[in-house]
Amino acid sequence: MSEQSKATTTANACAACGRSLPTNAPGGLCPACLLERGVALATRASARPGDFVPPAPEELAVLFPEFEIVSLLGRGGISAVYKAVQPDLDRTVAIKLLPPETARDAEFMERFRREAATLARLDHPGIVRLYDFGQRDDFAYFVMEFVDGVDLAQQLAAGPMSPPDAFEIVGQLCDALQHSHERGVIHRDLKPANILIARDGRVKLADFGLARLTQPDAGEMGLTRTGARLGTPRYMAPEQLNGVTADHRVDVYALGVVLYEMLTAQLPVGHFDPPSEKIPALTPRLDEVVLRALNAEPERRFASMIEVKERLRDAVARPGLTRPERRQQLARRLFAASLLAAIIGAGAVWLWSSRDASHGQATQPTGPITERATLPSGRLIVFGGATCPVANERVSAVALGGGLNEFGLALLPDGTVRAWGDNRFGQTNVPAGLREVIAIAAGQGAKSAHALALRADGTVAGWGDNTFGQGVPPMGLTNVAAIVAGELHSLALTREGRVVAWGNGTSPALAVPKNLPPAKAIATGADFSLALSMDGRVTAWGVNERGQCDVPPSAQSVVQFAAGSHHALALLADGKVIAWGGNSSQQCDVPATLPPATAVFAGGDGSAALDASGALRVWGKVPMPAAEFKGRVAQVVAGSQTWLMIEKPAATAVH
Amino acid sequence: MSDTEPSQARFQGQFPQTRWSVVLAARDAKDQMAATALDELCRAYWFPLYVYVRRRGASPEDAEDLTQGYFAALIERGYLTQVDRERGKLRSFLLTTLKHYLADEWDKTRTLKRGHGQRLVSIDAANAEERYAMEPADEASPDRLFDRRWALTLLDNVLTALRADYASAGQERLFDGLKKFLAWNSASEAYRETAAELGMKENAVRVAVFRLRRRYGNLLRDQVADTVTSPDEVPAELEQLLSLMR
Repeated sequence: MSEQSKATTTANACAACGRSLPTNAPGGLCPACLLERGVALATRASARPGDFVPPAPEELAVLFPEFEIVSLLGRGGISAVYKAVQPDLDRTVAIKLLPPETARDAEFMERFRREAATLARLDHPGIVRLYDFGQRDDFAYFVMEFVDGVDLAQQLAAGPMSPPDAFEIVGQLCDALQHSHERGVIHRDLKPANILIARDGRVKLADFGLARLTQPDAGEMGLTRTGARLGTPRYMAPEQLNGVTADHRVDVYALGVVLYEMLTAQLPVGHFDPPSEKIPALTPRLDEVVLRALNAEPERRFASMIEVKERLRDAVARPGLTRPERRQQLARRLFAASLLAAIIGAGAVWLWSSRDASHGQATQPTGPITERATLPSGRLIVFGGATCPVANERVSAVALGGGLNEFGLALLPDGTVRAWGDNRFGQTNVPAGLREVIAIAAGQGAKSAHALALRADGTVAGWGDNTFGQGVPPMGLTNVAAIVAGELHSLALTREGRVVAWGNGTSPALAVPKNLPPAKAIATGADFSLALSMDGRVTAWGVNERGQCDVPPSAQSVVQFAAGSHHALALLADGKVIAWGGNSSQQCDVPATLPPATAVFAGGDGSAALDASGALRVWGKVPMPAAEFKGRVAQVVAGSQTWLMIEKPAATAVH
Repeated sequence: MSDTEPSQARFQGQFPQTRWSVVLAARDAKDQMAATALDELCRAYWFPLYVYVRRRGASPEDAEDLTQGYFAALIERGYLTQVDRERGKLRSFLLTTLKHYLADEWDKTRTLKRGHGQRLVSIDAANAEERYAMEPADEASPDRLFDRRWALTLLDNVLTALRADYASAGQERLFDGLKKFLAWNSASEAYRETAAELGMKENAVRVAVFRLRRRYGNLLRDQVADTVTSPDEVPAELEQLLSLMR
């Protein structure tokens, strides 16, 4: 709104936005507000027919006045899940909404109430708690415990897990399922998407009994043929698929499938090899456990979850770690990796990037983190600038800092750091003994000369210029998931989504907004900072001389962003790329013909985007022939003089 | 009240059709379906054209003649065959061809009666002038005025159709009582007050508002879809219209 229209605001002004209403406003309503709301509604409505189109959060709010609906976390064929806050009880919850046709079915609603009442009685730390259920308008809904983490399906998309992590997860699942089985509740749809892993490493089982609920012909004891088709066949026991009476041992079978998949990244279909033949490090004794759980005849499987757990423990006995320690180890490995993928920024580059998972709870991890912590890597290709000692070698991440006096950092696959370039402030003096690094950052902007490294244990090391305190992180900074470095300031993102800043106290880039919502990614240019909220909104603060803090209103549903020295790029969920800020080298002129992108990069006064075909497009000041590398680009790091590219590893590469 | 979405039908099948895509596919006014579709579109959007002609300096009488003459020319001069089938939106198509038409006409003698006396679209001249008088006087560019008026006309059409929808179920009063909830987020008191006014429970008001908003969103989507060549273009056109309001 212009100042002018504000000034003329009189009785004839919109109560919401303050714009003056035209005398012939449609329906006497503010046309701008009307259209703004309508655009949100109509855009949502333009999905494909037959799909369940979940209401937008702001739309749903009217039906749930006791909640603040924060965001839509995910949607499936049979439900949509929202993150919400219940201010009265000061808790975050997940609201699961079933599509309207279900609530119009009286029989369904009867079954829904009965099942929900049973589920509400399950009270176990390994089971997602059901707080409430009911019906609003035509929607049946559950209010559940909100789990901040990832689901196992997201995790497995990256490849197999380390055996200790898999055993830890199965152990926790056995406890939860034993609890429910003792109360006569069978899960019936156990699969990776229903297994959530919280940030503290606790495993939580979701969607108990929902399979039966959504299968209209399901009897009290089992499933009919009709019903069975609605489930998830790959995880279903034969008797479940055949529609004969099924008991709690269908969960034993499904758990066997999940365990096999975690270890081998494959499903046990047809004539499958035992795990130890696929993964030589595994003991053949483990095969017995897996094969017995997967037995086609329920009588020959384990009789109880306790038995599964005990046999598993006997097979893979690992003395040493206590339960909480194992859980912490699981959390560290999973979330260090997953959040690493979300570190966004000009000064830092992270492991292989990926689009935000539809669940939105965390960015999908993209590489298996093995026990030896060998990081995924690719060949480094250098364009322009200073000589780089690791050119053409395999690196896991690279970062460029400084302006004309450029320096660079490379994270090697073994978790150590190499540095090169300008060293007037000691910015290439990597501290001796720096190991187990999972991310690096180099200061952005002409005057920058400091560097940061994030260790796997969530602590941060800093070196180089510390004139303004930008080089040395605050005492006691732990639990860090991402780091970025500006000209005279530094930022860290904690695993809880909190942004911590240090450095030049007078720089506005340091002034993290008080009400900043929890962030899933951060970025920084020379003198401004950016945060990406869990629901895909961008907040910018700092020096705004070039409009670099004027985030356009169209920056909604942002899945990734990147900052150059004085400009920023955002990638929207639909693959669109938007840019704002300084445009001295046309770095904000996103090409009109840019296809939907899968990743964006920025640095200095240059911009780049990767599309689904693997092609890289560059604009602004970019000393790199983009066209040559179609299909080979994993990461691009843009400095003010040099651009670096990490090549995609070959599909079969094993590190 | 039902929350069914009859307009979903248009998105079914392999080739989604919008009114404008029907016109473009035929490109020939002799095609009866296309002629009907074009006629409906002209009826819905004549006013932004009239406003544009007036703002370019035509008198009310000339503006009416020129608008009518333009609609006749649309068919007679084969403007439809000139449109870029892949990218032509109704909004830009109408404005571009109107400009061509006006340029042609201004070259001819100004005393000639335009449009050959044809009346293709019913323009209520007195009403048109009354409405034009309410257009902001300070808008400089006729193009900008046209676009802005287009967006407002679209919203007018949507609200009129929405109200007719409620009226057909005898629910005008409900619509009139709830329509304020379409434009802004409302505090709890607003729901309580409206519940009292309408003699309803607050929960029932909330459900009714939820449904009203859904129907509004669907109607808006459909009306915009009618002016673009494919439903896929709806989000982009909506964004553009929204930017015209800012």
